[in-house]
Amino acid sequence: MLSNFIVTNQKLVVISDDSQNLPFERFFDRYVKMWLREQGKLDNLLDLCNIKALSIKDLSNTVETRKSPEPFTVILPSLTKLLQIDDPRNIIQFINSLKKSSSVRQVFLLSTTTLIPHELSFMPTFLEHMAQIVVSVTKDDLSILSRQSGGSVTRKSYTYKIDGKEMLVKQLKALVIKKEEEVKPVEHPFKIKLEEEEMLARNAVKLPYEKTSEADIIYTPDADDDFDEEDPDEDLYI
Amino acid sequence: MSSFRKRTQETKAIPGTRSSLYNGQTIASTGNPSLDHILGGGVQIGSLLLIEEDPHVVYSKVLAKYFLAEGVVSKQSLFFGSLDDEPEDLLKKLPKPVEEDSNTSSETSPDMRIAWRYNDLPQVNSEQGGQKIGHHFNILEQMSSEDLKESDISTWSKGSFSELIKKLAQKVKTVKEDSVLRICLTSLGSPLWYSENLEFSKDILKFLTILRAILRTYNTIAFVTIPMGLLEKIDEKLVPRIRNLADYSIQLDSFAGTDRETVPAFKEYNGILNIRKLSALNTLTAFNPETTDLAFKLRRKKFVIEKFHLPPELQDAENPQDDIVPSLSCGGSGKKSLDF
Repeated sequence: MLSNFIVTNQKLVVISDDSQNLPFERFFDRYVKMWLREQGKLDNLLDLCNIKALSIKDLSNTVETRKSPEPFTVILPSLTKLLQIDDPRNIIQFINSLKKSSSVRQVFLLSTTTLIPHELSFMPTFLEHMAQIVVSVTKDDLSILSRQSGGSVTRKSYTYKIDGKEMLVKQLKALVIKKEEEVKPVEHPFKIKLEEEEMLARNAVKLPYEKTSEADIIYTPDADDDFDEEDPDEDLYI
Repeated sequence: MSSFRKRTQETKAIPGTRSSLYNGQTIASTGNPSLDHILGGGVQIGSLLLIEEDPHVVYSKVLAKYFLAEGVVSKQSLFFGSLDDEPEDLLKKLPKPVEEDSNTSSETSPDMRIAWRYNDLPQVNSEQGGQKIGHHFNILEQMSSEDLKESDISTWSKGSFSELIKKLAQKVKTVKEDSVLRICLTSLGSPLWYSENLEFSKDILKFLTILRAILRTYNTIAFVTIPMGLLEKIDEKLVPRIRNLADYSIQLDSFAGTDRETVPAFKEYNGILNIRKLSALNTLTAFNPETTDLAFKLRRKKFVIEKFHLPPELQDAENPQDDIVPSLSCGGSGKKSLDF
């Protein structure tokens, strides 16, 4: 189930819909409620989708007036609707305040990339940047990008199927890296392995250039030893 | 390097700084030895170091912590400004300084019996590093709050570009002449800074210009991280214009969440590091790093920048057919095994 991956304790979930055939834009609240129901977290819900609001201020007032002792989940109207009622700056600040607020459990936002006007086309990217979970839905598959607070980031791709009641996902296999094939023993006409006895015997053999101990050169000069004052190798460029 | 040195008057060095070996300018450490190395030993006083953030703002934050920690340890004043990160949270998580790099203690490799002379050879280390001016930090451990108490840290976490500049201008005036102020601004220009499209581009450029003017006038260094990937969406021209205003520009291109994560060639690294700009300040020639093929990884205890190299090919190639090397025909062509 998709809800297993997105109904978590990560605050901001952005659904980026690029599918063009799913009715996300119209029934987003129903989708989210379905996911929450699957996880048994349908309580303490604040659905802002169908609230008549003329500006972001109305929405934030609604959030503020809701005083519940327990943290609640917020379903925001889709980004398309938000952009109709207010400017990007206020939307970003509002979503950020929800994200930082301790009385909010999770925030769901839908951004349908195809419905955003061209001059505001940066908005989906901005909000995805702020989100902890980004679900990008395309025609055939969906991918979930999840940012943990510790700094780890994962992106997984799934195929999805919607039947009457739930949205099933199945993980696409990531590029399987070829396993190392077992090395076949090469057949050869001689014996290459050593028995234990032979190994010991071999190690015991002293080899000509082997270092056995720390060696020092001990030299006692004779009385009539003749030392050159000058460097005998001076003419050589060494 | 030759043993000749220009005779210079020994002026009293500002604590935590040093004169550069390349051009004699006063430099300070970024806190991370490998980042210092690729910048030519450190950041010059009065310059602006721009870090172009990785898409998920993981690694740039690590570097910011290094930068602040270095300031705390070398007893410099700090200014931290950000709308995205809570200053208190970030300052709590500064890495702890460690005495000496434990890696330098030579690990004894198994003794070689015959080729024993090779035992003495140093191990190859592709990590970028060298003479150090800063301290070493362990990102696994955190600095105690007592260390922080003594240092002079100002923070800013609410407002607009103009308010930040005002605050900064006040702060630099309090810095004494024999001290350095470190300015660290993280996620500058992130969505939370956004106002209006045109205004926003104008604001951020104006801000950086004024910031640079402040930097040049006082003993300051600035470390600014900017999410370039987002600003690109607003205006493509904005990216080169911002780079132009910085003195150093380093781009962190992480693999996290992309397909490159699973590519075997990149397995060892967390991302590619691109040097976008190294400028010459008060000199004619900029420092030229040995290589620009750099990759970074976040190890358990530290963030390292290495020369990028491909891993050894241990597995058989995908198509063994392609691998047959055309050889001089000695035992017939197309055969894989050699005939004796």
